Amino acid sequence: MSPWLFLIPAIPLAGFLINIFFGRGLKEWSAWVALAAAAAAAYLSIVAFLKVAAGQTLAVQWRWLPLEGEVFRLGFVVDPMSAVMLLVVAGIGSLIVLYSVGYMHGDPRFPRFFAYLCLFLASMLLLVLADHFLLLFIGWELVGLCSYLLISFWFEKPSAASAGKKAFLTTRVGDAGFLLGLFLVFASTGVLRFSELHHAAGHGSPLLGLAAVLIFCGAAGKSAQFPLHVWLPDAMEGPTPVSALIHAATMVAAGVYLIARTFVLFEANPMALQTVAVIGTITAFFAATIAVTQTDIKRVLAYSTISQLGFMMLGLGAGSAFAGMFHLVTHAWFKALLFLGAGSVIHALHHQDVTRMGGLWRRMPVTAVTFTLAAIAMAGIPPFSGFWSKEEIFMEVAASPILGDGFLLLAWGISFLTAFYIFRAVILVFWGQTPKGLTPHESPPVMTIPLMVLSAGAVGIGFINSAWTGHGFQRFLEGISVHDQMVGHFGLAAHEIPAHVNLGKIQLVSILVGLAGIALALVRYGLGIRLLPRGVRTLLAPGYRLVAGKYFVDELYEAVLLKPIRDFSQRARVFDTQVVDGAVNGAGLLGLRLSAVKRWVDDHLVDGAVNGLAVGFGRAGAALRLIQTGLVQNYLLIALSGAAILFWVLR
Amino acid sequence: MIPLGHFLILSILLFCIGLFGALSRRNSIAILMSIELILNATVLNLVAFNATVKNSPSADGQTLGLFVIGIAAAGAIVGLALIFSIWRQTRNIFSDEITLLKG
Repeated sequence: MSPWLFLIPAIPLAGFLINIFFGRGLKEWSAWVALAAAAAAAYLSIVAFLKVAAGQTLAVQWRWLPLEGEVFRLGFVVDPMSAVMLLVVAGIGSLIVLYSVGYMHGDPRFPRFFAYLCLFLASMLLLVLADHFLLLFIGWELVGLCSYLLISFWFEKPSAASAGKKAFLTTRVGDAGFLLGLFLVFASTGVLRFSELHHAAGHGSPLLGLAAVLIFCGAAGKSAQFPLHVWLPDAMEGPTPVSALIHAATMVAAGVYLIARTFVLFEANPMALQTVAVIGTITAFFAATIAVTQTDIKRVLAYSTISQLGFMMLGLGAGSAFAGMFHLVTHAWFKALLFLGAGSVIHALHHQDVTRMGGLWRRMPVTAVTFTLAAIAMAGIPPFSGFWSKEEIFMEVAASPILGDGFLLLAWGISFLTAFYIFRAVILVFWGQTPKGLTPHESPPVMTIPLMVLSAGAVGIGFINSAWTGHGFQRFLEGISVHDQMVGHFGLAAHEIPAHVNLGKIQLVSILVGLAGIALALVRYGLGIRLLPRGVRTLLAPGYRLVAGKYFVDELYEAVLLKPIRDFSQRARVFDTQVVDGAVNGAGLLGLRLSAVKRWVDDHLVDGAVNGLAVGFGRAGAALRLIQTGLVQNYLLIALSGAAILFWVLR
Repeated sequence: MIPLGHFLILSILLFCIGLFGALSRRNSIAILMSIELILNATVLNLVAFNATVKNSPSADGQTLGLFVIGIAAAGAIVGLALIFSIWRQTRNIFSDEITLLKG
């Protein structure tokens, strides 16, 4: 038992509480509160990581609620997989908090921003540490909330406000699937703890396969996989550190982490794995093509993130949780670096259009060098980090018994496009001439120091799994499958590569496609040579418009989903105002009319009867009055007459 | 012994005179006096029948006659008191002009 694991999410949570309640008084100091909280979490994460590296598995559990005799427990666990995620989240998180101090300087809601960042870190760490589906789901939803809050942080901008809403709603679609999958897992196996999943999922029943696909829906929503990717490009409306932290390095990787965590479910069902691989490939390829056409620097990076996440999914779908996780780790470093570099550029220029940039390397050398290093890493050029993880994915795809050769070709194509579009951005931003009238200057050290630290990671992190370190990362991750049975097999060990896979050839081709992409970008944008003759260009123009329009997925959703819903709502409104209101008003009016009739009946018939009776008696009385003359002698005469009549009758 | 028929004829005469007076006189006091005549006609009948019918051992007729005289006296007093009261109010004792009870 390691109760101190509590502190890892609790310290950022405390930072959140301090900043949200006392932020107004703390002012600039709120940033340092956040930084201290993030640094403390990072320190504890490193401690935990070192303990795990020494062969321990740290865990803590607490009673949550007694349930039908047995006690329902939730807990935290640090095994190799969550230890790696802890390092990524807390480490990159701390650097980005530091960077934000400079980037958010002067913002009117400065303390609030850091409060949200702390809440995000706390929820993300909760998600990572969870040993139980439910706890993971709580963290999962909390990071979604933070994502919403931070995307629409500048909510004065209508585009930011609607982007936040879109992100929240789109991921919610995936989360519905996730929740259903969770129910299905519980209904069919009765366990929700990851470490118990292994025993329950061994047989690979079709129901669990369905559950795996549903869980993948949740992952697809969070990790912006096709067709739920539409929110991520819009999420770039948020502050750039947020884009780097949440929408590139950590939260969007939560989907990949989720699948790696529940990998036994997928392994047992080849269909589920194929679904993951197919969706991942589609996403990676089509996002890469879109990224080529974008001119907004953050959108280029957003589509590249979607593409790389698709790549991780392909790695997972090839049957190797290790390949997906490895690419997750390397991607977190170089993509965070790319985003922070882009943020530095935006901070200096106050716009995001790459076609109006250029020549910045003279003015902003640190940003230029670090950004380029990250770009090389993403292009997959050895010995930078991206090469190692991409190569791992290529190899797994080639070796996978359930994926055809087409996947490998597509993966190479994606790798080529990746190199091309990221160097297009590098060349357009940092090379050439500075546009007139601009005097950009390098960002302050508080922003450049994180860039430098991250670039060290982006360059070197891949070595943790190189041949020289004896595939250390893979062995480290695989350690758990021996000890703990928490996840199944972690793909292929280095010595397990089948005979038909030519490792050297795959490595060579993957380097070549990366270099070819870079070379093409240099020729087209560095030297300004148009590659295609005019005739072919006009021929391909409709295709280009299709890609530049992001395949019109947003428009498709607008036409197929949103417009019908809006039309339906409009109809419903008309129905409401016309029919329902009409019915209600009609009922009221009917009551009114009916009462008018009843009033008439009351006035005329009932009152008539009552009054008529009274009048009748009145008349009768009036008639009888005539014999009441008041003359005594008349009465006597009448009495006499009566007596006479009586006498005559009784005679 | 005077036969019963004579008594009855006298009694009818008295009754008819009283009735005529009660119906035709305007003076309320005269009407009161006429009513006394009617009552006396009845008393005469009662006494005459009691004297004539032999097998009646008691003196029921005479007793009843005395009652009627007593009640007639009381009635006359009440009647006179009413007439005085009306006189004080209206200075009028003519029965055809007293229409207080007209409906």
